[in-house]
Amino acid sequence: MTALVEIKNLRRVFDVSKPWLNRVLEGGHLEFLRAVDGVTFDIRKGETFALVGESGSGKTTVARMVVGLLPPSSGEVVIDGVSMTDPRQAQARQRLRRRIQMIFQDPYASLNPRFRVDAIVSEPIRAFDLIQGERDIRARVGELLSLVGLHADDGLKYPHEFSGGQRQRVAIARALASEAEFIVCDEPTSALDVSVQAQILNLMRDLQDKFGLTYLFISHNLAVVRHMASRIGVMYLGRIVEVAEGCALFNNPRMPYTKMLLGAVPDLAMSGRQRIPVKGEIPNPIDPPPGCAFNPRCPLAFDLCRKQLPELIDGVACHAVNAPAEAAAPA
Amino acid sequence: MSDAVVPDRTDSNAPSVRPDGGWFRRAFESDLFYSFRRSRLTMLAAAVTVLFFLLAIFASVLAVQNPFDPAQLQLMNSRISPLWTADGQSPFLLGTDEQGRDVFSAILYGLRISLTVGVLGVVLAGVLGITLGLIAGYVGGAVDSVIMRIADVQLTFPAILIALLVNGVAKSILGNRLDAMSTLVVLVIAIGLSFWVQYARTVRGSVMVEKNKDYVAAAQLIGLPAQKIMLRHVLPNTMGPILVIATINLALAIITEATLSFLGSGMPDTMPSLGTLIRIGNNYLFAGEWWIVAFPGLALAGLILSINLLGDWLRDALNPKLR
Repeated sequence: MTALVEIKNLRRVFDVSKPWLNRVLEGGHLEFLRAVDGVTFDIRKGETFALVGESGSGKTTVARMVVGLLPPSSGEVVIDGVSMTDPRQAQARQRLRRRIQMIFQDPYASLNPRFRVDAIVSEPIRAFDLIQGERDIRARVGELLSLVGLHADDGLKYPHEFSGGQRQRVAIARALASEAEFIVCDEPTSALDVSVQAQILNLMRDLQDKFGLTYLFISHNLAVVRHMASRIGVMYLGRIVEVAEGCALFNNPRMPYTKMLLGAVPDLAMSGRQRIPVKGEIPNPIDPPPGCAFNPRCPLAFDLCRKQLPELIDGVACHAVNAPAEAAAPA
Repeated sequence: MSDAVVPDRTDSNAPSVRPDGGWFRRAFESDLFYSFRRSRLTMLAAAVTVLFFLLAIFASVLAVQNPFDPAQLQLMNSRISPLWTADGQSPFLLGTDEQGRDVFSAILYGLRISLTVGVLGVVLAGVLGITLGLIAGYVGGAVDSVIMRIADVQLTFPAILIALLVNGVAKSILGNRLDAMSTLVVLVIAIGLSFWVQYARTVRGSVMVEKNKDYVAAAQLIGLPAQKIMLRHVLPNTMGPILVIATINLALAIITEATLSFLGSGMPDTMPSLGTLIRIGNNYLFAGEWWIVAFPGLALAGLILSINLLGDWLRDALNPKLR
């Protein structure tokens, strides 16, 4: 298993200061929001790497940087040996574009309401000049639509004639149209009905088996992630705090934040397992707490946590896990 | 997992019948047409507007003389009152003016000029405003600031003032070489330059909403160039409000042209528009020759009223909050 996607120390800072004139007249200074702060991970070919985390933890920003919709402030995204950021590799990147696609969160906004479905699905085919001739393109669109469980004739309809689940199928067909290998899925089911979510997730897994797709799967829904992911990265305030294999993370969470997240998952069996109750809210990313960003909410926090940022060692960024001796020592 | 490829018809409310029959049937069954059929006033306004356009198009067939051709006018026929009055003479249905020009024919030809200037002015303003608004909204930043500040400054002047200014400049440059046809072009430019701001602002607003939607991101993802995304994806989704503005602006443009002509800086007496006819007639109003001013005035009022009613209806019909 080789890494298809390598993400190295990715960082994105947004300037959220007031306009220059207002700053001069009303006072106030430059303010920056660190949406993503030094994220490093890689995705192996054919696997599903999931990023989980609360709202505002920077998951979507990572996704947009990985596909190249948003330029990173620093750091690098390398996909199949080609850098998505290096200007010298612009040509290679243009060739790479065909192999990267994205499925968006809101299927009501991700399909152009003025385009018929066949135009939406055939757009990548035409943009990359994959198939010549109208008749062949139409045949391919029909094939793609039936592949995602729609009827080939549905291409003649407009997006508003479909339900949310069907629209997400159209979006998947569009992603497959360019014969993409790596698909970034940004909360693909969070706008859908629970009953439809499972259908879409199963469809995505079937397609993965069929075409050997690699997914970067963004979600805040742990049940969905458990169903889909082979490896999971937990994000908190722009950083990855824990990376583990899917079952390892669920069976044996190490970072206190992960434990808290898992504790918050409703449990039908009422197994009585020990939970760490969720307390507090995610801090303001403009002014993060010093040291480990999780320390104000962490039940295990000790002195070091408030001073020094923990490194990601062996898949966990936590002083309490990585240096338990110091944690035990009296503060 | 095999059930995954079964379409989720269960959550579907889409009709299973194919929407066949092409765009005509689609238009006939649309919400817009439904609300059109429900409003008698709108249907009347549409009928009157279409009637005026037809009158203008077939002016040369319907008119008894060509009022722009001095050879066809006879001073003997001057100041004849309308046909139904005691002094009326055939074939001058609405009477004649002081040059022996049949008022009915002059209205038809004047309508032609007014509508031409109005439509072309709106098209010019639209092209200018939509292009600048699209660029301002999509590119943003400094380009946006420059375009929109120019628009703001222009908004502080009334449109008629800008039109007068453009006209004055053209007149002083061209002087005596300014014939009737080039006056028409100048009028179109004047109207286009004074009405573009509204389009630019509206389009910019809609573009800023649309460009953040994911279908634009999907288009960027496959490497489409910015101008293609703007024209193919963003622009068609901003056209609803533009249609309303264009309709209402058509009425405004016709009025502006009429005002300019009434003030004497528009169409000349030899090739009168409705505004010119009203100005000419105005001189004879107190001499008792009311028909020279009344009928062009009625035609103008009827045209503007029906176009405005159409615009109002369109605004309501396209506004989802009022449904």
